[in-house]
Amino acid sequence: MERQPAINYIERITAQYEALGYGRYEWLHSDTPSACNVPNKPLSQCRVGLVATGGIYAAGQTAFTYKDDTTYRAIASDIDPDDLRATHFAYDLTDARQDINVVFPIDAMRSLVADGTIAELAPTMFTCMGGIYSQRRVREDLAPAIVQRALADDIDVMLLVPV
Amino acid sequence: MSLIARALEDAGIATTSVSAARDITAAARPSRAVFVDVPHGHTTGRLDDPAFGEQIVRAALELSHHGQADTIVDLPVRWADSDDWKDQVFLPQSTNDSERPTMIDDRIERFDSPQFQTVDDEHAAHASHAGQQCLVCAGIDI
Repeated sequence: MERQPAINYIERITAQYEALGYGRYEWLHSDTPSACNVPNKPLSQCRVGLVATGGIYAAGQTAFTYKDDTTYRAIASDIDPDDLRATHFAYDLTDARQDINVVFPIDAMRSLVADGTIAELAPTMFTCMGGIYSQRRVREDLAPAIVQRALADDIDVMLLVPV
Repeated sequence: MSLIARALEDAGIATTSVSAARDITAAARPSRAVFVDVPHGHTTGRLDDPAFGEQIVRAALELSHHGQADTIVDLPVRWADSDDWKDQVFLPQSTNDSERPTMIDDRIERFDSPQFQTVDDEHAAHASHAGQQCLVCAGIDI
């Protein structure tokens, strides 16, 4: 079957929001490249963390709201995946609720520890919402909070999984 | 997500991202990412196919030592034999053959209260917070 090019989400979502009369979503356009740190040890010796934006929480935690929620959840990396939940306004939750690994790759990360690709998982993983309107609140509240936790946990490589 | 990646890199932590939206990632410019051409909600895989998810995560982590920013690696994975799923994503749709395609309003209301997956979850959250056992709902005023 013929392949289609990658979807141009910015173009499509901007057109949809305009057609429906919703407020414009300000996409992040960075003017400068990111800093780019290379760990000072091989991947097989690295402690790896995870940040996922699929609105994942653990049973017993408060769920996310759908309105510019810039809180995060800390999830122990030894959690039973059956205790994880997904809630979000921006994607079809059906599959994530059947198997959280489609948005929170805990089983794959454990496999990579088991086969020696990475040394270990960070003790805690972090989750938040995506599709947050306020870049300012992500910059000022959410991102610094996760940075602080990641530094405290001595993470060598952080894997980021948006939806 | 890329704002968080960039903040982590600014703090000296190496990051590697998985992207299911190539244009959004290219505009936001995290340090490095693998692109997987899959539907929203499946960034790290599909049901009953753990090898698919592991392939994606392995590729992302193997990219973590790449030293050049603005790297996006297109992974040779395919969601399905057909790319028809892309026709349903944020495009005008016809509800029947005679009707001009129109933009369907399928946006979910932006509720400002916690949206629990189940009622049991809501009860469990209230119980853990009432007992002050929850140390992990960071940033929430209870």
